Amino acid sequence: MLHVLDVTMNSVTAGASTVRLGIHERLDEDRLCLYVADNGPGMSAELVQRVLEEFATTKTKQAGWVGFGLALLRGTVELCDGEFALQSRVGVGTLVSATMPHDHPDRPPLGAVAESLQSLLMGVRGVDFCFTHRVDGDGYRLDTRPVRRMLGAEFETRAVRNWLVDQLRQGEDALAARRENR
Amino acid sequence: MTLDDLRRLREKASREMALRTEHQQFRIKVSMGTSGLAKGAREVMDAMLHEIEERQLDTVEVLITGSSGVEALEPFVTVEEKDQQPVLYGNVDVAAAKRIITEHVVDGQKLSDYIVQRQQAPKEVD
Repeated sequence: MLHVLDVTMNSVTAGASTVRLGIHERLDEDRLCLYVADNGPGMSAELVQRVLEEFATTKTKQAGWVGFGLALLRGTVELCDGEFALQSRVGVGTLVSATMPHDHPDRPPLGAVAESLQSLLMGVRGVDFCFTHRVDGDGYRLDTRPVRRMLGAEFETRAVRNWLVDQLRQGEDALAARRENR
Repeated sequence: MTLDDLRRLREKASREMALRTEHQQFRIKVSMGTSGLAKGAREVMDAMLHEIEERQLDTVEVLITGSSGVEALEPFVTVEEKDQQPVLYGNVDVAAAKRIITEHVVDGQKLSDYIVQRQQAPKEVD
């Protein structure tokens, strides 16, 4: 999950207003797919090439801050015999996706999903998140956009953020319980 | 979510907003770029949020930022206090994160061991 958090922070610092994150686990097909998609400023083809080089960074406000997190994610995916893709269009946004064997011995564990995403929900202002976690057709989705529309300025309070984190935990707990029962 | 749940949540959020507008004292920023995450920035953030909830410090806000650009001193924590110069802490771990809340925020005592001096301070990149 640290990879996902890291790539999402790229989207946030680049100025995206909505970030979609997904974890799709297909245990029956031994496949794990992760994606982060944003509506940020996007990158040119040249910049996409550069950010994939290890330790490359744009380091300017104009081009958006991108560290070496993408290169690290790609390294992990390749180590696990998976596929990494980075698609971006200036003015439209960026999509980062990683697909790999679920049971590959070198794949880092997902870890505590809710705890990892808590930082985003609690610590980022002015950005909406749409998070999906699916396991073999089962799953849940947490979308902050309708909550923001309903609550307006009150959305940016700790009370609401805590509530969102609770929803995330409930989603994860229910998913884990159903998985256990199968 | 029922309409009652929404009403209760909205009331709680409104009270918090009123309190924050009048009394907000601290804004804390945790740097969470690649190096910060690798060195425990997420756990630092969680520890701070836990202490804040435990002590019901409603006038403290914790935000996350991107990388500082100075990887060796990550994770950074900046404490901004109303009418005061911001204080920058580097190499913050979970224990230091808790102390920032209990000693700096609650007791007003800065953690001198973790303060990053001006000549070490990272340049702004985001």
